[in-house]
Amino acid sequence: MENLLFNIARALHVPVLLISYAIFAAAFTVGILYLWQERKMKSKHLNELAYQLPSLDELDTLIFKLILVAVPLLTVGILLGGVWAHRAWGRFWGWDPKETWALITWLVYIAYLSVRFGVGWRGRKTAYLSLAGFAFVLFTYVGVNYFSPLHGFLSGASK
Amino acid sequence: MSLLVIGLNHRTAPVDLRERLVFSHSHLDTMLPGLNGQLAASGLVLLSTCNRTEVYLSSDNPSAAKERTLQFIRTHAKSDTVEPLLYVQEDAEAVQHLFRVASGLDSMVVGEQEILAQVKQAYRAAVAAETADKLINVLFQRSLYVGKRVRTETGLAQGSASVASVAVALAERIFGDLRERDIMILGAGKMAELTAKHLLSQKVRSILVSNRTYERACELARQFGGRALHFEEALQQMELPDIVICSTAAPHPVIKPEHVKEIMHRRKGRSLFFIDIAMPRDVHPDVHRLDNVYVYNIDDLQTIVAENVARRSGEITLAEAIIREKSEEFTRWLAAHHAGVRRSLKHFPTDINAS
Repeated sequence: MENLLFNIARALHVPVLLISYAIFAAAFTVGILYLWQERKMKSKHLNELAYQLPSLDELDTLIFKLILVAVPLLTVGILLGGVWAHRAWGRFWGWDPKETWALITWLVYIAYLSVRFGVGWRGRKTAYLSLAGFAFVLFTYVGVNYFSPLHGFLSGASK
Repeated sequence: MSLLVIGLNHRTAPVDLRERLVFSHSHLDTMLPGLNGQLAASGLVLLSTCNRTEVYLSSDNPSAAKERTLQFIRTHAKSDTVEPLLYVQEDAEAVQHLFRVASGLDSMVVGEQEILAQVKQAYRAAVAAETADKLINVLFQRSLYVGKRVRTETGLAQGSASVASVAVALAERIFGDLRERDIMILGAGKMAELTAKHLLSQKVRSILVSNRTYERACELARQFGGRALHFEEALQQMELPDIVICSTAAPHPVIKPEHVKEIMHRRKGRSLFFIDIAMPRDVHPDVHRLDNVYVYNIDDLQTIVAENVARRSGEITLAEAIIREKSEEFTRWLAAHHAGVRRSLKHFPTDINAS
């Protein structure tokens, strides 16, 4: 039974996280479109493209839905990593830089969902939060590899 | 006897000056009688819309009439420096100007329909106040005829380039599908009614109507299948609608930033769109700075319309041709009239083969 869980974790840890990153990338792109469109509406100088994009509410809702789908994937991906680490390195969580930054990324997106649900923030502020979240995704995915002794095998830094 | 027009419009003067020179119907009714005498004019029409305030005069002493009219405008504008923003045109030029105005060529929304009715109303007010002399009568009746002809003979008034349709297009930029949206009308003026009609053609979910006179609100609410509200009630329930069309006659903004901040809190940040077609404006300009709140006033809407309309140049050329023909005809009649020839306008047709 434990073996099965380990095998699943080893098979799915990376692909599940990559799928969540891809969805965060999509949310980031929509966030850029939202902020561009919002600026057009505030400056009152709309051009042809501004009339062709989806509406602000639609873009805002799309960002929300994408993040709503990606956050559980991110959560599952991180947990699967823990299961794998438990077998491979003998501990579930060890504050390796990759793990730490993944947690920070997770917290940013949890913050996004909280203010959206709880406080009732929408639009520009939450769009910025989704951009920030993706910056952390990129850092966790690429940047941290240069500091991480354990996860560094991706960039060869472990040597 | 000279014809004279002195005024300002959306091209020459900014909105904050124009709103000081808006004369309501009731204001005109009390102000007009005897005004021609005061301004050294024999005949006078005062045309006041949200885009223009113009005084049309016929006078035997045009220089005195001009001076007194300028003084009249300075007094109402509460400013001594308005003259660079004004235009003054005489005789043939004044005739052509009025014909262009009546045809909608001088409007910010080229070809818009409202202006012809507004010219008619201004003329009626002058007749009622007995400030229209023979020359003014002939001129204005002619301008209504020319305005109608331009509309029927050119495509100038066709298409969707109007303030109301631009307002709908902007609402769709914010909300997308308008079927699940609620509207509130604050101040049931003619323009508000028109804009609401356009929005309703998109099958919005519900409509609330409010007006200082509750009866008028009820009347409109019945017409639109909506619900009427007392004015104070409407201000309190403003978190309900997604789109608010403002056109009250209030002299100061009735919707202020702190008020809207509170509303947005109750709306949990859901977008709110103010279409402010009131003159003076109903919504404080700072409201537009709040997150997820968009305020477009009449100038903003008309600027966008003007951009859209810029493509209709072919029709404009055709309309200009009609106006040129008709104003030359009128000018010839005017010259004959001054020379003592008493003839109807139809005896002075333009030779259409000449050009």
